[in-house]
Amino acid sequence: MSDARAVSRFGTDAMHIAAMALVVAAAIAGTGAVIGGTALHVLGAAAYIAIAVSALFAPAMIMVQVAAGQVIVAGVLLRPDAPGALLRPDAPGMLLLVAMLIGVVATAELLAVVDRVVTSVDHDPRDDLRRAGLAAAVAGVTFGFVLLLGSMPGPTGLAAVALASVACVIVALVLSAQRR
Amino acid sequence: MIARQRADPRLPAYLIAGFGALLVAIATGQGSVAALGAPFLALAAIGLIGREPAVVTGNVTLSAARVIEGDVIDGVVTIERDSDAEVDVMVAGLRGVAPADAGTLIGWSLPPGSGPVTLPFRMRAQSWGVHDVGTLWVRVRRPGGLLIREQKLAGAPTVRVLPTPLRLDRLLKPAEPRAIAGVHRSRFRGHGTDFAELRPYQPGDRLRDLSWSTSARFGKPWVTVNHSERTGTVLLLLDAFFSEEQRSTEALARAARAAWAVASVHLKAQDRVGLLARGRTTAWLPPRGGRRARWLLLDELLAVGGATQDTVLERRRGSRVIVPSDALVVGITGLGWRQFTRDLLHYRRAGHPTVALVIDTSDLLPQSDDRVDDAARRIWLARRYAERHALERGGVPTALITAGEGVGPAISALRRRMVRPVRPGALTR
Repeated sequence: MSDARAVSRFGTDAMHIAAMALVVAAAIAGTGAVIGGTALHVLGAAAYIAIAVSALFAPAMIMVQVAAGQVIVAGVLLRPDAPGALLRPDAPGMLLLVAMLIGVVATAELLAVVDRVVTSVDHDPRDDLRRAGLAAAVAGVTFGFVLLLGSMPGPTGLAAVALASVACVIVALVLSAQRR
Repeated sequence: MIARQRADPRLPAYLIAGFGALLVAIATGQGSVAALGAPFLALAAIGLIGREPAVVTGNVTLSAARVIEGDVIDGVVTIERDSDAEVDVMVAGLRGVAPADAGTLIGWSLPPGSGPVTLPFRMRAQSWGVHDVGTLWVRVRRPGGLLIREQKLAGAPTVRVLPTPLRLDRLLKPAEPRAIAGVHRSRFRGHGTDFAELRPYQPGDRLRDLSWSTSARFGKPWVTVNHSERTGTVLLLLDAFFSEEQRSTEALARAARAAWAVASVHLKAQDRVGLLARGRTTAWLPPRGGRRARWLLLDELLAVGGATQDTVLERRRGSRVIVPSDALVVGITGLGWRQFTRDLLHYRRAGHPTVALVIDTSDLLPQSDDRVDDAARRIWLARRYAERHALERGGVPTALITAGEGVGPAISALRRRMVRPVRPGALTR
């Protein structure tokens, strides 16, 4: 008796997940274009969707998709009418910003699931989808934590340096664990 | 074991997004930009924790090592995971066989877990020959990890696929009329009908063998000694032609036709015909020939080919099989292995009448305009010529079987040379 799950066949599930990824990508792009309100934002949104589509066929494009999504979110965050003002939990539109960031992560995770489902014969994507949701939740929680950190009294530059230092320490620990 | 570790496409994306945002934040003094990098760095760190993938071992077993074209082969992939891991399993690179069910791949995606897993599969043999039934690959990652290890676990076993009866009849037609039957005579004496000699009576001789006229002439009993009814023993020494390519299958088919042409005429002449593969036990063809004999011949040829890939048989290859003293040794060779030439010369030096049928495979070489390929082709031809020359110098007559002329002319040429030996070193045809 095979222990492998033979739930989904290549085709149907991959198409569903790909469609889901593109819907999320389109939502992020649309939101960015609406909030930005300039031709540049609209152009960036269109490019983002094109990159997401290309990532369906070339998984290496996920890297570009994440970077492009980050640029869109940064464009909303640093728009001229509210420079840096959004980085507070009580700032207007903050939930929208969190949702966009979560959407970028969710898109990347879903594209990765599509890649895995396509290259496997029998693959149950439920675990992968659960993990994609978890990753999006982690991204949201982390972003919220940083927002709380940003709301604490003190210069924002200091918060950035502190965050960078913590991140570097984490990566250094992981790399040293790899050598052992 | 080939193993390669690579990152999931998300890992570089998250690292670049995270550190890129931090660098921009530090460079511009905009702390809010740093906040954008934090989630990505957190995801990258989570993906790298527990980054050493589990150790996975596995193998492929088949229910049969020898089948006929069209037969279904049952196989089992066994996978063992020492700890929690997601594993994609793939049997890739099938040659000569295909999945019995619809689809083009044999693969599974195992959910997170550990311990042994058995994965049954079914394949159908599609074309005759020796086939390496693919390679077992796995892709291992910790659940949620962003590092993947791709690993070749094992080569699947080889399977010998014999042709269907219809294809067998097309492949190995009845022997051509020109033959070497009767060229040699057994050195054994026995109760046959062909006169061998007269000699004085010895205790144990049959009374019916007494030659009354000779006994009367010499005044003491003499007996007639005849050649045995069995005219002789012929051993076909088979060389390897096996490789993965179709060209080699054609070379194998030519060798099979040559071997069968020789074998069938000797079987008709009531010779004992054996198959001698290097380092392998001799197999004797059924006296009546027929389909079973042809399958046996092909099976031995395929087995010889498989032996080139088998390290155990490789070691045994050095030991030569002792052949009956009255045997005619016929080498069927493409002169691809130097050791084969040495084996033929060994049998010749041991006193056995030995000949070689050289299968011409030069027309199967790939065509190329490249100068390096052309040089390689000429070196290959020169080497084959040298091997053939070495056989001739050692007293082993050779004849070339070309694609156009078939087996008959080569056997006739050999027959002429065995009856009337030519000067050593002279190549014919």
